[in-house]
Formats: sequence, C-alpha cells, structure tokens
Amino acid sequence: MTSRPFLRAFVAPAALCALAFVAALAAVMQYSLRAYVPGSLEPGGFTLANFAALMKPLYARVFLDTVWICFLTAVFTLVVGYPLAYALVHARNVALKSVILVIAVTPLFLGEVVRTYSWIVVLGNNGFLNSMLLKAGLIEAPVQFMFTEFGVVTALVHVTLPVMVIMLAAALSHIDRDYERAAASLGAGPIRVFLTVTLPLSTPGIIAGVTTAFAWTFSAFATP
Amino acid sequence: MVANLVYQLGFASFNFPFAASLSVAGLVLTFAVLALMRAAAAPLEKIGSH
Repeated sequence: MTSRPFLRAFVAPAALCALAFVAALAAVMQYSLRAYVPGSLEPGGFTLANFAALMKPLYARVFLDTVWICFLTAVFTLVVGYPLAYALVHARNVALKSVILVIAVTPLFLGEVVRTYSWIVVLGNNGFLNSMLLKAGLIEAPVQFMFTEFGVVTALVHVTLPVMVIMLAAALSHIDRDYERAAASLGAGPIRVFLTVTLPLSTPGIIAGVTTAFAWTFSAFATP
Repeated sequence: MVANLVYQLGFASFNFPFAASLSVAGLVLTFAVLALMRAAAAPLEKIGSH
C-alpha cells in the first residue's frame, strides 16, 4: 500500500467546506419545516403546512415558468455557444482564438450588478435596442423587452455562455481529428462530417453544458 | 423566477419558513430535472464515449 502523506492535508479543507454546506442546507431544511409566526422573526413549531402551501396554483405556476425559462436558456446557450466553441477549437489564427475566448469568457468577469445594468441599458424602453428599432422605422413606439421572457432569457444566456463554451470546447478538443479526416477521405462533405462525426462525439460536452446551464439558471436572481 | 419569490418572501415579508420550503422544493426539482435529463441523454452519452 502506498502512503499518501498529502491526502489528508488536501481532504481536510474540502471536508470542512462540505460540512459548512451541509450545515447550511440542514438549517434551510429545518426552517422549511417550521411554522410562520406573523410579526415575529422567530419561527414557530414544526409543521408541513409550508410544503402543503406549495401546491397552490400560484407557486406551481412560478415553478413551471422557472423550469421553462431554464430550458429555453439551456437550449439557446447551446445554440449560441456551440459555434463559438467549435471556432475556438478549430481556428488556426491565434488572434482569432483570443478574440473568441475574450467574447466567450468576459461575462464571467463582470459583476452581477454591472451585467444586469448593462442589459437594462440595452433592453430598456429608452435603451439601445429600442432606439435602433425606432430609428430604423421598424417600430412606432418602444417595445417592452425588460421584465419579459425574452429579456430574462437573453440575460441568462449571456450569464451561462462562458460555462457552456468552456465545456463544449473541452469536449471538442478531445475529439481525435483522425475520425473527421477519415470521414472526409471517404467522401463525406464538411456538413456531413460535422453531423455524423463531430456532433455525436461532442455529446458528453453538450450534456454537461446543458445540465450546468439549467441548474445554474434555476437559482438566478438579478436578471431583467 | 423562484429565486425572486424566495427573496420577496424572505426579505420583504420575513416569512423565512415558507421561503426555505420554496428553496428546498427548488433544489429537489432541480435534482429531479437533472436526473431526468441525464437518464434521457444516457444513450447519447454512449455514442460520445470513444
């Protein structure tokens, strides 16, 4: 048996963090089973009334809307992220790769408030998008983009895009190019090579990216 | 979105128990949907593992 002297040193901080997360979750669970006392910050006795109240149509609707928005976000992030990841992996020009990387990863480095405010500037009634549409004569009055499904999904796609691109790029970079070359040498065109070789082989990355985007957006809060 | 409702219940109405129950339900629902997605995508994942 080989000795691993650093194992405990590395596991101990991770175990402490896990313990803190479990304790926080246990506190939330405990609160969820307590009664609400109006006018008091202290919860009452144990009850299942809170979970029974979740069955009300209002809350069921909120959950369904959230799941739908998360689904749309995951799908659109995949649609936008896949070409970016593909170009990032396959581009030969280093400058182009850097530009794609910066475009894809920048949202990660923006604060939530800054990112949300920038979307307000773009999607607001007097924002960039409405101004452009008005100037182009496509609309006669400002269109409501903020606080709509379109606005929320657009901002959420922006938030989740970096993670999707990174995961897809990792999956695409692990595909052996010989498979694509073999398909091409057998007469398959670029589109057929992509659809029958590259796309199926990148499915683990697609699944990882979509599930992460879905889970991440489910708890999203500060979005227009 | 569920998170906005949790915030309103917890920090505007101070109804921490109900906000916590919504959070727990959200967590469970997320895990359930992810499990369903993974189960549905399992055959596709086999294609990708080479």
